[in-house]
Amino acid sequence: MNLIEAKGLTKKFQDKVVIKGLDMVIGQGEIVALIGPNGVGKSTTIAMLLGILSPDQGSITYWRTDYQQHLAVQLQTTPFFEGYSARENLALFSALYRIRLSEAELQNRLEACQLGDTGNTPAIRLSLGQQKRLALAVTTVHQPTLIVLDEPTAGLDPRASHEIRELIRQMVNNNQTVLFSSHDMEEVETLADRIIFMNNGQIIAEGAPKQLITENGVANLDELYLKLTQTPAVQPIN
Amino acid sequence: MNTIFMLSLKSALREPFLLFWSIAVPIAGTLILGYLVHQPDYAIRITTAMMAMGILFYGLTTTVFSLLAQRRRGVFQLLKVTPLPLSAFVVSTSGAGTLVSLICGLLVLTVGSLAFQIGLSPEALLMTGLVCLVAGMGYVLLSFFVSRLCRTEAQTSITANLISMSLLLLSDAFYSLDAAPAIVIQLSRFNPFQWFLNGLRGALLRDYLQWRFSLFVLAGFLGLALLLAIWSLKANDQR
Repeated sequence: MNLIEAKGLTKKFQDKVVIKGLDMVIGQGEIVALIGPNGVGKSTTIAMLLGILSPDQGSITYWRTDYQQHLAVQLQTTPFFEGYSARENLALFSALYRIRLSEAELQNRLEACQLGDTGNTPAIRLSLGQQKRLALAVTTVHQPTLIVLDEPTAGLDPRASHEIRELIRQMVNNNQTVLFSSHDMEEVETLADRIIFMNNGQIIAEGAPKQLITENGVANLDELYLKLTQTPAVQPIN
Repeated sequence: MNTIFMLSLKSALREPFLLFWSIAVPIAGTLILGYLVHQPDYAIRITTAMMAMGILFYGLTTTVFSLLAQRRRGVFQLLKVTPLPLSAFVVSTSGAGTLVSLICGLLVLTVGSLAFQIGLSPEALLMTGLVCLVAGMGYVLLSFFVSRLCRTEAQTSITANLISMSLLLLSDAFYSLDAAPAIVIQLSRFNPFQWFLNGLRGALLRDYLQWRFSLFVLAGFLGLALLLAIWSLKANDQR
């Protein structure tokens, strides 16, 4: 079953067309990575798929009419409520999904993402890694079917990135579908079932990581990235 | 909605700006000016002016910074993808802000009435509370619109101050407008802050006609502020 089917999505900002007739399908149970250089329209695509931005042309079909109740989103900026503790943010996000958690349930959720001791700390004072883990906890509080993560490990150290990847794997084990964007090709290779490669507002390659590597005759995704974005090789300085 | 209201209330009461601008400054101002200016009826003028100013500063200035921070962090974008209707979020958060501003106003009124022996019947208190509630909610909702107009703290500070100062200066909060230029008198008739003052004075002096008419005008201001708040939240952020 497909959770999202987008057809012919086009988006303009002022006079610049940033998404050009994009078709995309997200199937249930997949981990899909959306990759491409900065500014090619990944975040805009995600925003349109989520309904945050309206496409100028094209259509998006969801697997159910009340899809918002079964969708989780973590945008690039972690949108915690300022002045609220980690626990209060968790309670507040639950309320946004019409879920009321008891104190014990809140504590359990915080402990599940290794934040048991920092529940009373203001969310914006947590370290970046802790904030990302909290962001995952608050966005998945309602056991969503589809989880959309915009660069979930951006700016994190290797350990924090590893912890986030582990949390993403746990989600998939719970039979949840994940769409994420990333610049970390190692992360994409280890997590994704399917890659959607974007450049200049269009999809230029799509498929399983190994399939794309083989088809393009490259050794790994880093090389594929360089090949598809046609980045000239770095010349040694004489 | 109940959880959002309670958490918003808890967060609002922890706000240090609240204590300073909306409680400490109006109370100090009421006492200092009240004791310095010995004129009949000035006690009621200064108490109502400081109450209204405290509510305006909390409802507009304090709230607008909090909203700007939330908007810049993407909270409102996220709200668009949750099943909670925007109107429910606006009602819950602005309801908490309004309750806090009402508490601020009543604290100033209590100090003013004790210091200057202003008679406060339960009826006058109820009438005052109703005016504070309608005006306070109007300012809180207006802050949603103001936060939408600004992108930085500096812009927010300038815009919120321009609005607050214009509302204050185009009213007879601290001085009579009898000798003011005709344009100022004309503008004060469209100033919701002036109607807030009129409503408070009507409540304390039991001028029922003035109280009712002021409340009617403030209800219109509240309706307009609600429409602007909903538009602000629904409008997409374009880059």
